Amino acid sequence: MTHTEPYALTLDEAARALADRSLSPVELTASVLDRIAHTEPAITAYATVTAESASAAAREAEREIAAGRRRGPLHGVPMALKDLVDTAGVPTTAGSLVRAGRVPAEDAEVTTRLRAAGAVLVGKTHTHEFAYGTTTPQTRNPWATDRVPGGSSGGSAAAVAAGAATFTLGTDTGGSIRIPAALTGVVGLKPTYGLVSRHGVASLSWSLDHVGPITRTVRDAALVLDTIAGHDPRDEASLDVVRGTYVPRRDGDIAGLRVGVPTNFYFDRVHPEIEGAVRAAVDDLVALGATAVPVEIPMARYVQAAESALMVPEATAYHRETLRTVPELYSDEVRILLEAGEFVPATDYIRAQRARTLMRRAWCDLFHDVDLVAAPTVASPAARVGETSLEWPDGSVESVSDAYVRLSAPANLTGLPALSLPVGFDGHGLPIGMQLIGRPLGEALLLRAGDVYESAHRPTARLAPLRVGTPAGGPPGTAG
Amino acid sequence: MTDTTDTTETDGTAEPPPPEPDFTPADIARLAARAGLPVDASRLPVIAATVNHLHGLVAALNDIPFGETAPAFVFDARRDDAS
Repeated sequence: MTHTEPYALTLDEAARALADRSLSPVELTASVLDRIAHTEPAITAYATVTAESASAAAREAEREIAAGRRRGPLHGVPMALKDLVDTAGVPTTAGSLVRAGRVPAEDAEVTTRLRAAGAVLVGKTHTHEFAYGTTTPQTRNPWATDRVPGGSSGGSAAAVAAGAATFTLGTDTGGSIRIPAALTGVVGLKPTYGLVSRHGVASLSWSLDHVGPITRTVRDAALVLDTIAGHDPRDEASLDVVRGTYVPRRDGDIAGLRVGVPTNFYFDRVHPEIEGAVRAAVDDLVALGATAVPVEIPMARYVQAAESALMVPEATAYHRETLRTVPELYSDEVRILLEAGEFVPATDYIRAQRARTLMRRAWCDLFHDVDLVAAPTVASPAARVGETSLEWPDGSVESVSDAYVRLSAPANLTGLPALSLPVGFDGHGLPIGMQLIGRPLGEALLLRAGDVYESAHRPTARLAPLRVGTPAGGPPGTAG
Repeated sequence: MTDTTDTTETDGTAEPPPPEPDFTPADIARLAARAGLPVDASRLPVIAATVNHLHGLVAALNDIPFGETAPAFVFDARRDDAS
């Protein structure tokens, strides 16, 4: 494999090649479809591949571009959508037998926007059942196929990491975009709560759900956000805000940027190689002109309580009818959580909503002193398939799911934008992610900071090597 | 179950409330029946354990001095119903 293959292009590279007509949408789509056929036996990122309609859409895009009617940077670019996002005429099952065979009649709002921008749907990517989990058991991690890709948007992240989609969308309720992005070495953006419509996207928890891009680079995430952000009155949480472009200038800088470095919570019980990589990346940001400022994370000890007390009963409310009519169609893991949610008192739920108010205020106060906060995305690298818990050096044992959600949930509770980007590998060659958390509607700054870091330290976004097992140690493998 | 913590949390001197007793499988059976939720008897223990774990996590909220803080529900009365 060489990186001159069209499937290996980033969205930004592909868009420029399509613009100058050195690449056609038909060539690009065919290349990605061939790559899907090559990678699927190893990673199973896709629930559905729409090869025929994708080829037709690519031909249409080619005709339009040839006629001088190029719609923008996404025109003719192959994308995949998490199987939680409705796509008219294409099965959308939320990874569950409860919705087996379901074919929506209408597109979700984000699907409509992406189709209008000319993006080519190549398929639907696997999700942990109804997004209620962080491992996506159907899919394997393309950096080591004995490892999970994370979740719940595991298929979306694995596809991007393997070159089996130029970009994808995921959803994020407790970290479900950022967790798999970190574990598969790609970029994931959870936008500000309400910036991207959730209409037509199956809900896990209305208070915490977000939709956002998973891409190979930060610049690519900005290009997708430009298309999907915007007001939609059909989403009760949608914000009606005026905005400009999110795409960073190519000569952008971060001189004077104040980067908050947590003194509590975010580096507690974190794998030492992850801590080392993230602290090194902060040093890199400082070398690029930023200033590191120690910050104390407010109300950190209430994060898990508030996240659980909101998500669990809201999920149960969403599934109330089918939990009574077809409970046997849920996986045991998800069914138990849904049933347990029946017994959370309303007062606990309301207290969690009140805690959310306090957390949001306290975090906004924190941003008087810093422009963004830099932290690990997850506490531990990709777990082995079937691994359910891990032991920390202090002797404590934590479920894999808790270890993944713990550091990402604050941005769900507060609604703050959070960007995960790759900052290195551990000794087994498994990717490490750093998240940058910003002010409400501060996506442009996060994307600029991420782009400046990436341009300096990760100028080429490598594809995952599709290794069959985890190497015993040593330097990361080469792109395959 | 009532929330009586707000009046005692703010001064930081009150004794913490005693831990609530765990739910038993029989409790879950009774509450599930009342909620119209069909649950096979063999599954009651694992559901009870999950509920107890969840309540243990959520108990951390007892320590927050909420004062007059309102919940963070999303509602904008200016918005037309366009659905």
